[in-house]
Amino acid sequence: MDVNIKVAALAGEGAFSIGNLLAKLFSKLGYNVIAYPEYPSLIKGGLNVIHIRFSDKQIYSPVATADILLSIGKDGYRYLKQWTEGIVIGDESVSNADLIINANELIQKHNLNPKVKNILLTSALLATLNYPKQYLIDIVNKMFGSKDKTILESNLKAVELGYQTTYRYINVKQIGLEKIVISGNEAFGLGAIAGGMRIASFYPMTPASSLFHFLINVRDKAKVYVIQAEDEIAAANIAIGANYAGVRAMTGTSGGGFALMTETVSMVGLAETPMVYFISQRVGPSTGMPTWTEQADLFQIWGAGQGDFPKIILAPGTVQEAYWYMGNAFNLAQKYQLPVFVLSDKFLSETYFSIDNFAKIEIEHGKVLYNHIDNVLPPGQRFLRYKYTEDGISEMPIPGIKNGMHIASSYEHMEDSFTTEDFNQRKMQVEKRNKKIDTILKNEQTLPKLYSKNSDKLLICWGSQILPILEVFDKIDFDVMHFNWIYPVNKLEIEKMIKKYEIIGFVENNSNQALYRFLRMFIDINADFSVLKYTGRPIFPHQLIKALNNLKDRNYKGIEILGEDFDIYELYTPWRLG
Amino acid sequence: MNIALINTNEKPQWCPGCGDFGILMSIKTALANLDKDPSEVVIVSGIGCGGKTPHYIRTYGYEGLHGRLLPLALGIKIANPDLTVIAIGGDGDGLSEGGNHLLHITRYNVDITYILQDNQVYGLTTGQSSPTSRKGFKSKTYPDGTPIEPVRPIPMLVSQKASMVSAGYAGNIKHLSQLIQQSIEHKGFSYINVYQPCVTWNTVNGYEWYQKRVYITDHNPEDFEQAWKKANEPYDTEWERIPIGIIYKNNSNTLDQEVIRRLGGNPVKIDKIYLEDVLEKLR
Ligand SMILES: Cc1ncc(C[n+]2csc(CCOP(=O)(O)OP(=O)(O)O)c2C)c(N)n1
Ligand code: SF4
Ligand SMILES: [Mg+2]
Repeated sequence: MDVNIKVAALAGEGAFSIGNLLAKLFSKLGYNVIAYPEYPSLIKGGLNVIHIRFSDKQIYSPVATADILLSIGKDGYRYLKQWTEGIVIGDESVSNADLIINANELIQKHNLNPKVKNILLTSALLATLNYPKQYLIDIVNKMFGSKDKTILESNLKAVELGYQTTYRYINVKQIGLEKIVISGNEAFGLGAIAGGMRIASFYPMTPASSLFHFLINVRDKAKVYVIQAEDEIAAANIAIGANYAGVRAMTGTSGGGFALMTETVSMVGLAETPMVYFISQRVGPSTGMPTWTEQADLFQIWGAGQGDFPKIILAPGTVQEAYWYMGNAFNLAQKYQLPVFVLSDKFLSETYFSIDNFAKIEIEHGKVLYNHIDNVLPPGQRFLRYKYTEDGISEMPIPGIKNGMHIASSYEHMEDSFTTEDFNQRKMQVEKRNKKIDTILKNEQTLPKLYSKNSDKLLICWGSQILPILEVFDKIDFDVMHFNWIYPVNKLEIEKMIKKYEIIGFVENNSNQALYRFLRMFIDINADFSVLKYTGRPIFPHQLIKALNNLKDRNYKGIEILGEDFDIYELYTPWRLG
Repeated sequence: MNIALINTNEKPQWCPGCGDFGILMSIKTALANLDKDPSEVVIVSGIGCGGKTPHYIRTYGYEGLHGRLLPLALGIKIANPDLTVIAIGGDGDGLSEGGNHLLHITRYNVDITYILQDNQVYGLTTGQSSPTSRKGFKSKTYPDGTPIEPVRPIPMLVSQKASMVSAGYAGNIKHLSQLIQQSIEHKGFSYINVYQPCVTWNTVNGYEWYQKRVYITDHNPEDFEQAWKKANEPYDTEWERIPIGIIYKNNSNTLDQEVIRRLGGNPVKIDKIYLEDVLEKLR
C-alpha cells in the first residue's frame, strides 16, 4: 500500500496541523510516513499544501500525484485537481469534489465551536480509509483534554460527525508498531541532545528556526538552554564562549545569517575552539525565496573565513543521518578543535519522516581537559595550549582547571598562546593546524556512502537530494554515491571508488553545480552529465526518471535542467489567487 | 592572593604613559584583593590597544574579535557561572563595532564586568576618530575637527537600567581598583567607563586635562534621578565636571542564575544525556 494525500488550505487555516495529525495517525498503524509542507513566506493568505504519504514499504520522498486531495476552500482544488488520481474531498466551497462535507452547516446545526472544522474534515477523510476511530479519539482527548471541557466535547462531536461519512476509498489496517514521526530539524535537534549539547543560541531565520523551536519545546526534559541573541554575530559568539568553557553549544541559521557569522569561523579556526554551526539552506541569493529549498551555499560555507585553517563540513540526507551527524558533530568539534558545519536545506529540515531507531552516540572529548592538571605552572608562564604535536591537536584545558591558564587567541600565537609575529613560530602553527586534516582523514569515516548494484554508471549527490534518488533506486540502472561527509575530501580513496564507472552524473538542487565544482578542486573527476533543479523545490522522483531517460537518448551527455511540471508556482502566491 | 601569581613574563608593549597601564594594574590589584584563584578568572577582550590586556594577566583569557567581547563573555559565564568573567576593550570596539551587543547586554543582565577603555580615539589603527571623540576633535579621519556628536555610553546604560554603571579614571589606580572590585562583587552586569589618556593620538584629553575635571562622586547611585543627573554631567557641563565612581546601581536577576535554575545545575557539570527523556515525550 502506498497512499498519497494532499491537504490544501489558505495560509493560517490549518493545513499543516491536519497534515501533522494525519502523519501521526498513520504512523500509529505502523506505516512509514512522509509529510512535506509547501508554503509562501506569508502568515495569512497564499496557499499552504502538505503532501502526506504513507506506505507499508520503505519510502523516501514526496511524489507529484495524489490519491486523495483534501481541499479546504476552492483554490487547492483549482490547482491540484489535475494531479489527483483518486478522489477529491472538499468543504462546501469545492462544488466539484467527489465527496463534499458540509462542515460549516454541520457545525451550525450542532452548535459547535467553528474551530472544529478541520477535525471534522480530517475525520471524514479518515472515515474514507476505514481508519480506526478510537485512535483519533485518543489523540483528540490528548490534544484538548487539558483545555476547556466544551472545546473537547465540540471536537469529539466533530469526530462523530466526520465519521458519519459512508464513502470508502480503501481500508487501512494495523501493520506494525508505531514509529516516531519527526521533521529533519527535529532529528537534528535530537542529535544535538544525544551529542550532549547544552546551550544553543540563534537568531530566527527560516528554515533553521524550527530546530530551535523544537529545542525550546523539549528544553526542560533535554536540559538544554536556548538563547535568542540580538543578531547572528552574537548568537555565534555566545556558543563559542560556551564551547571554550567546556560546554557543548551550537548556533544555527541560513545562508543570510551565516554571512554575518563568518568572522567567527575564522576566529575559532585560529583559536582552535570547538564549534558547531547548523546551516539550513534556502533559496538565494540574498533574501531569495525564504520558504523554498536549494543547495547552493556550499562554497559560501567552505570559503567562510579569511585565512587558511581546517574545518569539517557534513551534509546528511535522511532523518537518520541528520540525527547521527548532528550528534557526532559535537564529538568532531572537540576532538579536532575546529568549526564543524552541519548542512541541511528547507526540504530536509521541514519534511517529516518516520524513524524508529536512534543509535547511541558515544561522547568523546578528545584532548579537551576537564580534570585537573598535575604539572604546576612556573610563575609567569602559561599552559602550552598550542603545543606542536604529531596529530596537530593540542590539549585544551577549560577555564576553572588549575594550572591550565592560557589565552584562546584570535591573534597568531606561540605554543604557550602568547601572541607572536615570529615567522618560524607562525609557520609551525599553520602546519600544526593543517595536520588535523590528515588526522581526520585517518581516524574518521570520511568516505561518501555508496549504494551499489554493481552498475557501471554512477549518480553522485549530496545532502537531501539522496531522497528522490533512493525513491527511484530500484527503477534506475545506476549506483549512487551520497556525499554526506563533504570536507575534508579523501582524495585517494574516492578516486579509487569512482574509477570503475563508465558514466558519472551529478544530481543537485542548484544551478551552480556546487558539489561537482567543489569536488573538482580535490579529485580527478569528470562528469558526463548533471541533473539540476533550481526552481525552489526539491527534485521529484518522476522528474528524475524522465531526466535520466532523456539523458540516455543523448548518451548521458550534457545538463538536464528541471522545471516545474506539476502544480504551478502561482499556486502559492496570494496576489494571483482568484 | 599574591599579585605575583597573575604576573606574566612578558612586559606590556604600550606607549610609555598610556592609560592602559593604570587599568591593567587596577585589574590585577582588584583580583588580588578579592583573593581570586587565577584559574577561575577569564578575561575576554576585543581588539585594539586596550584589547591586549589579557596578554599581561595570567588567568584564562579569550582574545576575541573586534567588538564581539560581550556575547563571547556571556557564553563563557552561562556555561560556567562559577567563573569570574571580565570583558575589556576600547571605545571603538565596544561602542562602534559592538554597539548592538552593548545595547542588549543589559537585557540579559549576565553577571560579568565590562571595562571600556575610553580614550576617545582609535589607538591601534593610528588615530582615527572614535565614537566618543568630542565634536571638534582633530583626527586622521577629520583633520579639520570631528564634525559629528559623540555617543553617550553612560547615560545610555543608565537609561537602560543596567545593573551597575560606573565611571573610572586610569590616572587614579586606587579608586579604579576599588571600583573594579565592587563591580566584580556586584551580582549582575556591571559596566565601567574608564577615561583613559592615549598619549600618542589624543593630546587633548591627557592626564592634565582630566586631573582638573575628574572628581569622585558621592551621590546615591540607587536613586535613579540622581544617577541620571550624574550620568549626564559631563555633557551638561561641556566636560568641565566629570564624576567618577558608581553612577547607577540596582539589583535584578541574572541570566547565569536563570540558566542554573532551568538546567538544575551548573551547565559545565552536567554530563548526563537526556535523549530518552525527550523521546518519551515525543512518543
Ligand atoms: C572587524 C574588524 N574591523 C576593523 C579592525 C581594525 N581595528 C583594530 S583595533 C580598531 C579600533 C581600535 O580602537 P579602540 O577600540 O578604541 O581601541 P584602542 O586601540 O583605542 O584601545 C580597529 C578599527 C579589526 N581588527 N576588525
Ligand atoms: S596608541 Fe594610545 S592607547 Fe595605544 S598604547 Fe599608545 S597611548 Fe595607549
Ligand atoms: Mg579607543
